[in-house]
Amino acid sequence: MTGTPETSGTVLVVDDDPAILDFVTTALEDQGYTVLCAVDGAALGVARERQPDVILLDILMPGMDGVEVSQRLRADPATARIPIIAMSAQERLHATSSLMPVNDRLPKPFELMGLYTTVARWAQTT
Amino acid sequence: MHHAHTEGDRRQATADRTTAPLTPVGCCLSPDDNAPTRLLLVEDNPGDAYLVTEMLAAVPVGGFDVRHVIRCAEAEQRAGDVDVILLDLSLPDAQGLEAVTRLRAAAPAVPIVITSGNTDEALAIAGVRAGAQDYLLKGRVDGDLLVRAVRYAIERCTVEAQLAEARASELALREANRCMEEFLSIAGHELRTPLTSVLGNVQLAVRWVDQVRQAKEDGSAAFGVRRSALGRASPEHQTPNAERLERVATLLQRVERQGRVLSRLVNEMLDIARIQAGRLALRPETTDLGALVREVVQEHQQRAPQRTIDLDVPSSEEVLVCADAERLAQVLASYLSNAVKYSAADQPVMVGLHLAFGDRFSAFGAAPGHSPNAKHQTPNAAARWARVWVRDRGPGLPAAEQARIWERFYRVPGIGHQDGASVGLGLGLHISRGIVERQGGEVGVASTPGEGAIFWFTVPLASSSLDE
Repeated sequence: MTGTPETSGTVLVVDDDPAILDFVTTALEDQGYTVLCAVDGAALGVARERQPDVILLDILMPGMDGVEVSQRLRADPATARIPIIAMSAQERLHATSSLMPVNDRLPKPFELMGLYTTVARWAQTT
Repeated sequence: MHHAHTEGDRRQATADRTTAPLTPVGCCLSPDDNAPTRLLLVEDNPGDAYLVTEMLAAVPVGGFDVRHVIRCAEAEQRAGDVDVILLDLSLPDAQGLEAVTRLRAAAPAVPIVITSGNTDEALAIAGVRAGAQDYLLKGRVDGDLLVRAVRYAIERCTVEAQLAEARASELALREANRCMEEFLSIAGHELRTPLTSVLGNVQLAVRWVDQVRQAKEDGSAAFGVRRSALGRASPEHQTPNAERLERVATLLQRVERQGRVLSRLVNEMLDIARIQAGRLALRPETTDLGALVREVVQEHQQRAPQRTIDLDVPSSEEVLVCADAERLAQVLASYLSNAVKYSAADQPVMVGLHLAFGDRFSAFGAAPGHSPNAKHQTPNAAARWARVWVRDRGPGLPAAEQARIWERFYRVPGIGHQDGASVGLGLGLHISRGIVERQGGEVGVASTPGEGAIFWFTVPLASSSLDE
């Protein structure tokens, strides 16, 4: 029922909203990706250990926010080269653009195709 | 001593003052204010009290209703019932500034004028600092000066109260605005998050349903044969399932469409709140307006393939503006969806872009019948503006409506739109105007009822094009 996997690779999704995690996981797994989930600071350890091909990172999270997570990922040589896609409301993406060392931005609410093309762009370059 | 006034007079006077609206300076001197001024004279020296009472009794217009007390404690009890207090600072039960402090506490809104001996001027000045309106030196006072000081004190007190009230309501307004903004920002985030997963999941489900339908079509013959052989499903049973699958696809498409409407409404609500608070954040960058227009029209055409949307945009040259591209696209999309919504399905919509020369006010509005394509060009004139316009063949707008449609929540009465189009909040044009004006442009409409309408907006060209 899921059709043929079109891509492969591992994506780490960092968000505190279970509904978003569920949707993104289902959608990306359907495309053949292996999906890992983490909330705020826990992402750092998962990223270091599992070396995902791309990280989807929410900004507004209760513990460590996306800005800090992105800075720490970049500061750690083990994770510094993993592409990061920030996802949040448009205004927040712009407000934090100078603080977040990210490769791409996915404004919420995003569409399925937007999610697919953005993730594919960065999963392929690695 | 004059204690001749009745309780009834006093009540009447009090009622007049409490129900009367705040009026500008001069209210107490206005001729229609006939009630005598209620004055509390706090004075333990009988000679001074007599003198003051006589001076006030001689006032020809309006007059004073003087109540005389000797002790501060007595004054405290009656302070709330008068318009002004005339206060001596040496009382049997209060010395110096104490009387001012106590009477201010007893009746904060009632002005106090201090009467003091010539040797006590420093104390009187301290009294003014402690909250009295003015002071008078005994022995240097005549009737005119006394009356003027008392009336002036009352006026000043009224004006100060009005100012304080205005300041308080301004503060309250600012606080309310801040709360509103904070609320909308949180509400926006909270509403968008579930919308993201609703829309995403629906899109995923649509995709899966499509894949199943595709698979069925591709392998229907093989499936049919195999299933019949197993005796599980006959072609008669497959048909209702296939039908149901089609209907699921339709339902999902409906949900997706409505989800998009919700998403748009949330965005409109947030935009309007920001425009209202004057805090619409813009990110101007150099943009080719021609490319932007083509892109928006193409998107719209894809969404409504059955409609004819013609394009009149110079294809060769770039039209560079320094503006927030996303926001301008939003304005054009709003114009376009109105044009499509309010005109018949077989009527074409036309979108154009051209340079405007000279005066920024040389808009279509000046000549409604004019072709939108006519350039206001004079030889060698430098273009200053880019103008984007959308022309529909809908019912058009009477002149009286043309200004009102930009107002918040305004909807033209009696104009129907195409079936299936969402009505919205009536905010699109108001938001468009907010966006365009913030970027130094203008919006406008030209229309003749029965012949459609041209909605336009201008954007100043990027500075390099402005060099003359």
